[in-house]
Amino acid sequence: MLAACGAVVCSTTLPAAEPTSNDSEWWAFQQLVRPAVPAISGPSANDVNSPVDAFLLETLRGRHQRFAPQAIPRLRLRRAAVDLLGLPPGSLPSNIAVPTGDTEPPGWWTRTVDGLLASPHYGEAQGRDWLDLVRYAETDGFKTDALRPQAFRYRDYVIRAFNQDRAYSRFVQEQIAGDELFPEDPEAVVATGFNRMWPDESNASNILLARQDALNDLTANVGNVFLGLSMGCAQCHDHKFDPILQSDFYRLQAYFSGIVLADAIPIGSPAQLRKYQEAMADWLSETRPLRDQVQAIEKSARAKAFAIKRRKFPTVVLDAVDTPSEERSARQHQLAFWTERQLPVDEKKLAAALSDTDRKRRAELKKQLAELAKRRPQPPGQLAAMATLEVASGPAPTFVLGGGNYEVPLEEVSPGPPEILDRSSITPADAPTRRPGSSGRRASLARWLTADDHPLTARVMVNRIWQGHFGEGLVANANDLGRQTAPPRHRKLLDWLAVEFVESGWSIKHVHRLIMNSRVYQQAGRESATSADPQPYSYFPRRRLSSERIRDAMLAAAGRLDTRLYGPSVRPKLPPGFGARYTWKASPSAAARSRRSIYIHAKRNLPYPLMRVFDQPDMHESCARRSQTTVAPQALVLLNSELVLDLARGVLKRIQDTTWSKDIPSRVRQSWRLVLGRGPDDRELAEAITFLDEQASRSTSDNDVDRANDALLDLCHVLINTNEFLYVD
Amino acid sequence: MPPTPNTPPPPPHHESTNSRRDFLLRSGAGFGGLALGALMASESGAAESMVARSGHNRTPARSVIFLFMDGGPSHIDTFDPKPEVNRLAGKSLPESIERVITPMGVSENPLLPTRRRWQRYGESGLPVSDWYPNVGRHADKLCVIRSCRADGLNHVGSVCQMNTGSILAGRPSLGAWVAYGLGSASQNLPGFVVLLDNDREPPGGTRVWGTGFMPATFQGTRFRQDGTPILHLAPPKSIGPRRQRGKLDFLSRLNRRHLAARRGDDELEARIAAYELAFRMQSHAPEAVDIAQETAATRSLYGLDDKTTAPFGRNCLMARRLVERGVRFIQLYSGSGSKWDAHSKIEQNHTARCRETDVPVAGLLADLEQRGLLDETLVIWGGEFGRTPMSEKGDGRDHNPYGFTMWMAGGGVRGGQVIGSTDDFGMHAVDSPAHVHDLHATFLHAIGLDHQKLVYHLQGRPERATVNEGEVIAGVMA
Repeated sequence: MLAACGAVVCSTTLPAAEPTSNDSEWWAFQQLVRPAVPAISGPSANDVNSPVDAFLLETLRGRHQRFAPQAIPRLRLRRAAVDLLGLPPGSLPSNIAVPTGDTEPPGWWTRTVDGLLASPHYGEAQGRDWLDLVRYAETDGFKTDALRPQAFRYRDYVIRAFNQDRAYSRFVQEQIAGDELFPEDPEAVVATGFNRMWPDESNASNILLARQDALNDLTANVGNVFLGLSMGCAQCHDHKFDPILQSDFYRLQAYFSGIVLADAIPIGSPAQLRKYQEAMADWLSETRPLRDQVQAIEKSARAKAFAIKRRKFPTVVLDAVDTPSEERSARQHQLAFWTERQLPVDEKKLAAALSDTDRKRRAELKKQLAELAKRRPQPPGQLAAMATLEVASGPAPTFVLGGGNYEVPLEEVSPGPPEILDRSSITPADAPTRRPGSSGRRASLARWLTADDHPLTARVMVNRIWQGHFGEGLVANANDLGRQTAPPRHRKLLDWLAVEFVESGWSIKHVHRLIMNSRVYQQAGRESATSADPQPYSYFPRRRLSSERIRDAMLAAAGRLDTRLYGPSVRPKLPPGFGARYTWKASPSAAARSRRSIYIHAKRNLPYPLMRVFDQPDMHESCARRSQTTVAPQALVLLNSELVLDLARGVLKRIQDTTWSKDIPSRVRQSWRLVLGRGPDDRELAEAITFLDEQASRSTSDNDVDRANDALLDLCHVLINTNEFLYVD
Repeated sequence: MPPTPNTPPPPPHHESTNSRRDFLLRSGAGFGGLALGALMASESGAAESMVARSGHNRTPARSVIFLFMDGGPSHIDTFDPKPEVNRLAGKSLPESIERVITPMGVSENPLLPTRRRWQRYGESGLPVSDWYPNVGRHADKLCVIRSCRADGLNHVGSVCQMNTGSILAGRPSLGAWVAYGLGSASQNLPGFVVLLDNDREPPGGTRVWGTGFMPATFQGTRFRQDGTPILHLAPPKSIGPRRQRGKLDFLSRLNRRHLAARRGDDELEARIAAYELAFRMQSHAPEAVDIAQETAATRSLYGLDDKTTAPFGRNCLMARRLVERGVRFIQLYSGSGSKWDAHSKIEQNHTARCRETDVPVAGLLADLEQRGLLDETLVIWGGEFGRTPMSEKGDGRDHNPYGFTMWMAGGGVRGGQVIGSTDDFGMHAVDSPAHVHDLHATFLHAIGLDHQKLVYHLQGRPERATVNEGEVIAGVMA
């Protein structure tokens, strides 16, 4: 929840800049057209496996460079498995075979890529990148950091969507407007949890500000995630560098001004929902006289009984919370969302504040109401989820806010895309709102975003997929394709991939195949480059494993990785000194504590320490690309923590369990295979044997067997600490 | 506009490095190491590292000690005397004073008189209450800013803002900005250290010394009071030093072989260096905080011989040792976990908190001065907000972010002066209001960083510690 001017009041005012024709010429706003694939002749012609290669070689050729030789199968398999599944090959199903040596059977690579894409672990790795973008967490943040018990369903939705290769267009539509577009589909309703991922001060003193902060955060996130535009600056003033007006920010916000933050959502076909709503309207009008009487009695009693707690809230907020839920406007629902949690109705105190007559009268009325409640219409289906929907009274008006200050509303705005894009001829797909009583605002935004000819949506996503494979996108800042970011190095390639993406029906897996079956993906590392000063894409860039991949790989090496999919989060044990003031009770089952890292409880105020130290981002701001730091605390935790040492013990146990003989060389070979996925070469074997010998003599254990085990444990632990383990070639 | 990598600020007298490789090796050898994100993005050789560098301006200060009174100390009972509060005790604020939102809704409550006696100290005659008699003796070193303002009402937002500039989480803390701007002058210690006086963390937890959207390289490291100061600093006892050294040697051998086949990969090399540092730190970090090496006189100066003053005193003394070893930013929490939050019984609460801190803070100022370190060390005192003149629950005070006091000392600050003022009741800042952004701009200025030039590029947005606002407060620096 942070914008360029994160403070409440932003005094910076900058002259308004109308978009000029020059602005609309910026590459990212240009219509998407399929570029011609260049013909590559000469020595590089053999390097063309795919159009992707041809685009890259065209540039490399200009620098007299070409691709590095193909990497050996074992390395390529590790690269692909780590990229797609986030797991080392050793933990893969046995049908994905690893050829030994340099040769591979014909078709092996394509089959391998397809096999990996079909794995259910694919969604776990790709979903994590998406969670970084939407700042996924299962708690509110701020002081109370309250639990969001249903949030994990959104995480599961994301994993499942990737696994099913859900059309990206649909994926976008579901998250922004699943309640409006697919009201009968529980998955699509869970997807709207996206609209609620902002950090939230559940005990905010200033409710109006909290509401505005949440809307601002959501608006900026939609800009970053789907449009690839940094809109946050425009909260307070027209964007300094991009043709984004302050009014654009609030026009985008207006799409969301009707959201009601609900935890139980009626599910059903439009016809069923209409019928339900009509029945409900009837029931409400039938019961209104009774309910009004109860309300009248309670209202003054509430004011009296909870006077102290209510004192800090302004009238508009108290009115919202005093209005019965069924009668609230969208804005009142929003205000009540923050206030109700701070003004819990204590029945005893309430009753005590009533006069005897009122108390009796109320009891009587309530009895009658209870009778009527038996006939209260039931929704066709109901889903417990952290989701959004709207109410029939419609969205609250949205204003441009002077200096971003909620107390300074300027002109009212209607929902609409940024002006710069409004001028281009985007043809939204036909998918009107299907939930009766909903404004359809978000449905129309989702439709517009996922138009086949939208210049940004597809470019933004293929760039993210590319980044997942090469560490950096073709556009360096995947969350901002605006002028603050350099134009893509290979614009034609980006556009070609984007067109392929759309024409494949927005298939993400199709884009993975295009990239991975290219030569550029299969090259060896920088040391094998053909030039002394190699250009990007003339070699494959080495990368450190992400925090989740490190932990998952350690668990896999120890033979402890629990590969179950989906479900509520787990809590591994915390290091000593953590957790005293947090609600973090370690999961009782050892298997649960060994589940993949994406299932670790995502607590905003306590990111799991091992994840944080290896650069898992702070889930307050969308993260398009993680930092990759090299800091001493990383070495300390891998070298000295009980956590990693215990995993090394797991490796040791596996060696003891799987190596029949006590023959030292077999044990060394097994340690290498389990941790590094390969056998040691002769020199490594010899040195490791010497190490075991010396290390046993350094052990303080009191017998030879224990000393030998200590030494073997140390060897396993050292291997986990190697760069070979932590990096992917 | 071209993309701008997150290069540390271009210093006028940047330490020259012979080559990119040299630069990387040296940065990898610092505690923070380096973040290769920027390197990969720019390929220009610029990296985000902890190599020591100079700031934008030449100033005497090299380090900052921020004494954070967690929970909000009452300014009108310590450094901002308000006789009108006592004169009108029991009445509401006069009509002329603008009403405000407070968390507990005390705006119409009667004024709670202060029981403090005030004394003017030093040549400057600066008034300090009898809760801080020892600090008072250093009045001529203090620049008391009485017109501070903040935006938050609750602790978590306000502690967050005093540390990061925003009441919303997600931004880097001030210490991280300083580490980003200046690197660390220590090869074996972090550039930014946090010390708590008890087991509880301040509201917001570790995030208040975190890096938000910046790489972890610049984050604060909490030094613990018991056992090893840094988490995972030493291996479990079962693995003795000989085994540990043996493992590190074998690891280094394997890593060097791995590197030999991948020549020129600086990051792999930096990671090898990080392991060496990890081993060195095992001895350096405990040495840095080993106050047993200090004389009895020094220990007594900081109040270590009194069990009330010892916890905070120990941290003050550690802070001085860390300054001597080149740590840039040391943050000390007094009453960590909102223990200054006196909604009721302020007499008991603040008597205890002030007693815990008075001698240690005075000792720190005296010790820095006698060692000639005061000029190069900026000392800051304050909390996330002040407290209301109105009473809460008859004997306490509510939060007041509308007007409160902080003071600065050392680091080239002109002491013995008061800047700004609150109204007659200490409710609102009136003369020269100093918003948190202004305070941050001033703190940064004192240590040589220009808050407008200290920029981190995030998703196309130039981010500044002061959230694109704030001005250096006039008159603070000598």
